[in-house]
Amino acid sequence: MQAQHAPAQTALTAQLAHRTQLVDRVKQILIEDLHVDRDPDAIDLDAPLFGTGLALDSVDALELVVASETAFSVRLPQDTLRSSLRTLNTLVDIIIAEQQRANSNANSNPAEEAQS
Amino acid sequence: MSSSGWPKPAVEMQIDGVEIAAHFGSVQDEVRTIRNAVGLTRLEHLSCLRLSGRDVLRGLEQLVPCDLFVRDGQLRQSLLLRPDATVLADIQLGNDDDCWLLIAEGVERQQLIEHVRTHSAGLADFQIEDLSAGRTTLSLNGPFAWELMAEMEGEEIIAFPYLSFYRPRPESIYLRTGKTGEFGYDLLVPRAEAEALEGRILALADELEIAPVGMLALWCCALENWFFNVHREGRCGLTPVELGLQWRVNYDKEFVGGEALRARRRDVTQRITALRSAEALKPGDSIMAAQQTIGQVLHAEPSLTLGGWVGIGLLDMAYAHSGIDVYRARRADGPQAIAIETVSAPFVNNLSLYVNPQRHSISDREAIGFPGPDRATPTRPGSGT
Repeated sequence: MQAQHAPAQTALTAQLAHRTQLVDRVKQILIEDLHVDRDPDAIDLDAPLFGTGLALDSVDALELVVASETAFSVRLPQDTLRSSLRTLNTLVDIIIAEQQRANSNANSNPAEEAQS
Repeated sequence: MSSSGWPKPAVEMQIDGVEIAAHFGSVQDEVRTIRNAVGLTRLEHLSCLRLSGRDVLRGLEQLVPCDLFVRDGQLRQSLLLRPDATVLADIQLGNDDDCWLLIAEGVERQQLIEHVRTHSAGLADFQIEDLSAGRTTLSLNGPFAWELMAEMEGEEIIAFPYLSFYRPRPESIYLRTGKTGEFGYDLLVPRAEAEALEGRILALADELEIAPVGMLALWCCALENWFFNVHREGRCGLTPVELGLQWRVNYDKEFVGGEALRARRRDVTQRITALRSAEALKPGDSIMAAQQTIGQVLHAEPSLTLGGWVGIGLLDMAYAHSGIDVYRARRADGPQAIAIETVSAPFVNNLSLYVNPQRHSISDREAIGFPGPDRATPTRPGSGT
């Protein structure tokens, strides 16, 4: 029984570790680049980024997108930003989705990757 | 039915010691109204105090956990905490020239006044006036609530920003607020004028699809948008640390409950996380990762906007992340494991985010490029047919 659960547990541990790493890095961006005056543990993952919550503004939004794209080597799709920039968690979701999309493109087109 | 045309609620419930409408027949229809048109609710339980006097800032600094850098005419969301850092009330604090408005729910009015009085005792000049006495609050919520307000108060209301307030008449206060994710306005008006105002609102009911909605629909929408509900998760003995409400707190100041909150922050082991499931979840259901219990369901209910169930889980910190679909809920009285997914809040995408009051109207609602309410399966605008 225990052995059956081991691979699933390993996958869960890896998934949680990856998510934690991204969350911590986005918090670092918020504190260092956007000057959010809070300790990392006092930044709530589901708090609104704009208006209430962390009270970021439209200039911060642009900076957050640029800093995230640089830090994670992804391109955040402009047409979903309204939905994906609502909280720290929704931003991490879109970063993970774009990382997975990039990985899957790279795996499905190895020849193209090699030529580019 | 009252003289304004306001129907009698099908079911009433008691909140903060006051009877108010739970629903008017169909919570499902009422949620649909809030998500697509305009819902009207009497929030009889909402308390509003005006705090004034030379020592008002000193008193408030001690009373509320947030900082007080609030511009005149603006509101700030915060909390009133008990000395043990659990939540007494969900509040909005408004800077009103030389005075402050404290709008609260989650506590009976007399208890609120006692709490404020107790924690301002010793201040030479700190005045408390109960603005709720003789007034009631009409709450308008929906993606076209601004259109109703513009019809009644003029086009300039459209520029009224979220979390601000103004006085259309000396005895009335209009707040741009809400806890549904849609446009929201709370109109605090003298009780004697409330029926006439309701009558004006309901006269526009056909044109703007306005309908009365009860607290259960507002609470459903609040959960779908991950607004804090002081009457549910706020009654689970948790502090802002576990509740994800630290953004309403400034740890650098002293306030009622501050010491206990800082201690909890040092020792925190769990936090709340948004849950979705195709099947029914119940408060108290254990949340499992494989064979290990990692938390419990605090609250869950059907999402009337999305279908399925949405809820709040209290999870051990290491597991309290969204995007995980391998956890299971297990009921104490049954062996069956229920598949759940942790997701990023809010659960829903709001039509209000896509409505531009300069261009849109409820009459051309279908032309608005709204990708749909489910954030989990967003369709990019323009990608559909």
